[in-house]
Amino acid sequence: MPLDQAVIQLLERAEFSQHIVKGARVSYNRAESARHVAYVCFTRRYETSLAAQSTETLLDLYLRALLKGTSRHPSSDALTRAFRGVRVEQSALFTDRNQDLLTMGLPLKFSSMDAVAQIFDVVDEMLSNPRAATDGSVFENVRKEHLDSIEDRIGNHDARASTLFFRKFFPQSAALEDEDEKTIVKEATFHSLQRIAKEHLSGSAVTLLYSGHADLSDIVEQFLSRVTVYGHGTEALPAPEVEWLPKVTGPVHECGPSQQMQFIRAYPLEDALRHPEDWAALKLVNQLLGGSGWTSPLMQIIREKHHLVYGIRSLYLPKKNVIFISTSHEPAVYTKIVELMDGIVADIAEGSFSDDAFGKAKAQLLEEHLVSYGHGLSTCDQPDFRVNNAYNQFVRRAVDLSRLESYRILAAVQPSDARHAAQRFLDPMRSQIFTYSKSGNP
Amino acid sequence: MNDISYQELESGLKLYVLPSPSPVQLYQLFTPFGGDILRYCDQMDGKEMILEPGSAHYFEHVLFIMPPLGKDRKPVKWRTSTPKTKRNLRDGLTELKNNKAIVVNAYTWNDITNYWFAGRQNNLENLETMLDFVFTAYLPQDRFKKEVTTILDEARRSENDASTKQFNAWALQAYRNHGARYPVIGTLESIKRIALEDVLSIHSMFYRPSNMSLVVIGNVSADVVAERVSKKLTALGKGTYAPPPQEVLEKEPAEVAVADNFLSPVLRADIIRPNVIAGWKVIMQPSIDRHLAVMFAGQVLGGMGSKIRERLVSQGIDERTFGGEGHTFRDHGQIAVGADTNDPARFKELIMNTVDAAVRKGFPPEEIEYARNSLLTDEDSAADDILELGRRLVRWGVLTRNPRDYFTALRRTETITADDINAQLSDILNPEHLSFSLMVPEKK
Repeated sequence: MPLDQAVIQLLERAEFSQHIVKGARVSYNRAESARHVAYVCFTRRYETSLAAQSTETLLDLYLRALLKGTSRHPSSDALTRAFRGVRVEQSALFTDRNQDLLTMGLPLKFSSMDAVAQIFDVVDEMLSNPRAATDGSVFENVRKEHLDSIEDRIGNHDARASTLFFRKFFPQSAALEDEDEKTIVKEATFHSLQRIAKEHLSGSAVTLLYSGHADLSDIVEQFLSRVTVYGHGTEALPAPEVEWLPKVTGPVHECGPSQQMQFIRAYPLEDALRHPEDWAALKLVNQLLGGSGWTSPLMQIIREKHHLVYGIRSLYLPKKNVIFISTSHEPAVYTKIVELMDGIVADIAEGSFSDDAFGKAKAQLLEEHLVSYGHGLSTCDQPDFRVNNAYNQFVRRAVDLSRLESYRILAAVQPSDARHAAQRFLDPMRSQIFTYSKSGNP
Repeated sequence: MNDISYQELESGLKLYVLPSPSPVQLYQLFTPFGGDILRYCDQMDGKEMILEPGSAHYFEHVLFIMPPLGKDRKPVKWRTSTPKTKRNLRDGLTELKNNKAIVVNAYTWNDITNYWFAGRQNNLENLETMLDFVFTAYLPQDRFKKEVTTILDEARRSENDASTKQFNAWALQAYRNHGARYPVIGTLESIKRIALEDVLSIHSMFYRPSNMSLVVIGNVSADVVAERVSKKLTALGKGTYAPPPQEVLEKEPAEVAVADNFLSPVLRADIIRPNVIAGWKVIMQPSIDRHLAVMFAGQVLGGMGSKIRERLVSQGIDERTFGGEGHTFRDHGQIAVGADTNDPARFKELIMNTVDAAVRKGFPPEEIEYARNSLLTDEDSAADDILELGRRLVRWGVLTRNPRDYFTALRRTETITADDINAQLSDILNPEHLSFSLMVPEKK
């Protein structure tokens, strides 16, 4: 099937050019949009994922403290006014971790380049003159807020189930328990946080991702002198190693206050990915299983035919080498769901899908490749979409290919490739079930 | 951006097309009928219909059902749209997804049911399919009944969320007669009572083309869309004009039913600290300024960056969880603030004192200025997102029945004064219209 040239052109325009300028890596994309999107990222590799996770907790606490204001903007609300006063969304400084890679970043979405200098003035002030440094009660309040926010995770049932699953079965990248986190928070002082943040920034690779209608030279001029004061590494950090689910056990049923049963089932893949073509074929296998949402057999059989759940879908997580299914349901229907899922996965693993089903799944996947659908619908012509993808590729290192590169590979997958990949990688008899609910054991 | 075209088709369907260079087009077909309407009079036969809470949402689920195809690959001919049973049914979601629609969905809110899809290819064909299932209520009786278990599961998911449960408790305290007393999805009891006859009546009443609008965003000719839609409606027997139903809104007193639930709070096992919502019920008037006043008041009272919020935090309200906003529907609205607190009575006192002062003195002009900037910053970001923009157009398509009023409201957001807002505060922040909903951790 020839490639759709209209799509190729769209995705070519979403590509980033790479530059090393004044102590930073700059990924630049020109977009015809009234808005600019820029992410300033300081990324550092830590010795272990646990070390990165501990530092992430400390940096989160530090950033929370910075948001309590400065001498000139002496409260969180005053800081928000400073951002919104120049029509910039206050996208707070954030941390983001992919195993041992930890990023501290500042995302900016704005309509006028004039706002950039003003925002950096505020950020400079937050970093150099925070109220939390001079007023102990501010920091104690921050500490309490942070401890409260750790406790409040109990109310978000699906996220809680997911956290507990990954903590239990991928301890190499998510080992920190809530109690460990609380201890770290309780023992921190603001000055120790400042030191840790400084060490993180000075030891970081600095990346500026930009998409919008400004010229590269303007971006360099507006951003880099402000950014490289804090860090100026240009090292290209390799992607973290692919993780493996080390051991599959019998079903694990965790107790928690969720009335509905949060259900997770992970199928570890039987082999390591050797080529991008394997990745593409597995994307299609996942699409055929439950990745396409409504039209997939997981949804059509478990929801539409048997009415056991409201929603169910599968994800292919290449960096964890698993296909991951999640849903929530009434505890009483657990056994039925497991039984139906066994049959569905077995069929897919045998390659028992028609060429017609494959064609439809592939067409859907290729169209979905041009958008990102969450709360809104971000499309490939928009700076937001482009910068998010560049972030995942160049900073987070969660994907290896750009959307254009992956589109070409996905478009080349044939039904036989998907069948072969399903048979080679997916073992329907080997999976890890994890549930989280008030009833515990179903 | 605001060169949105409008035409009314012969059937009475209103068509709005907003040009956009996006590679994706968005099609939204909606009726201004949602969870709020629980009673209406059918003008055709004069019969009064009483609906169970959740009926509009239930109908949204089953309206995707389509008749099977015959051997000739055309829909089978049927004598009744409600056979006892039928095999090989199709559904609109699958039909659209399999024809390259990228995202397909529908939602029901208090005052709207909206069916929509976004796609790059085959959009006009997909639009015909959407018209097909929205304007044809083909509901085999057994299939209609089976949907109840899926919807109950959705309702239980919703009940599993503490903040939703707390808001539902607030609505029950705030409203006396209005459908907004109940969750849009209905209750676990009411959902089971929804009958096929009720939803069929809904279809003939509220899904007339003259009561509906199609809002399109994208690079497509309005005339081409109009021609395609008109032909399709004619083929479906819906091409000629039938008058829309008259307004059927419940009379709701301005005062709330219950001022607070502090003596019998909502109990939850999945929260750590007590939480309070303070919410004003607002009876809307058909004016853009009224809607804006609610949005501004919500922002000034609880939006990040407001000086009132800053002052409340300095007086001890929990900064991490404190927030607020205003939200409007066609005939009612809410201004709500909320936070975790170990002292609900103190929270209540602080909020009431703050609002009492605001009503007496008015919000300071600089607070209105800040709220303006904040609301407009949100709109800047929505303008980039075809779905967010689309949601805003249909929102105004319900609030004033004219999606173009979104742009009018945007311009008015730039010019509305503190005096304009303050003139409405004594009504929209009246203490008689305020109810507090407390939720506390269940004792272990």
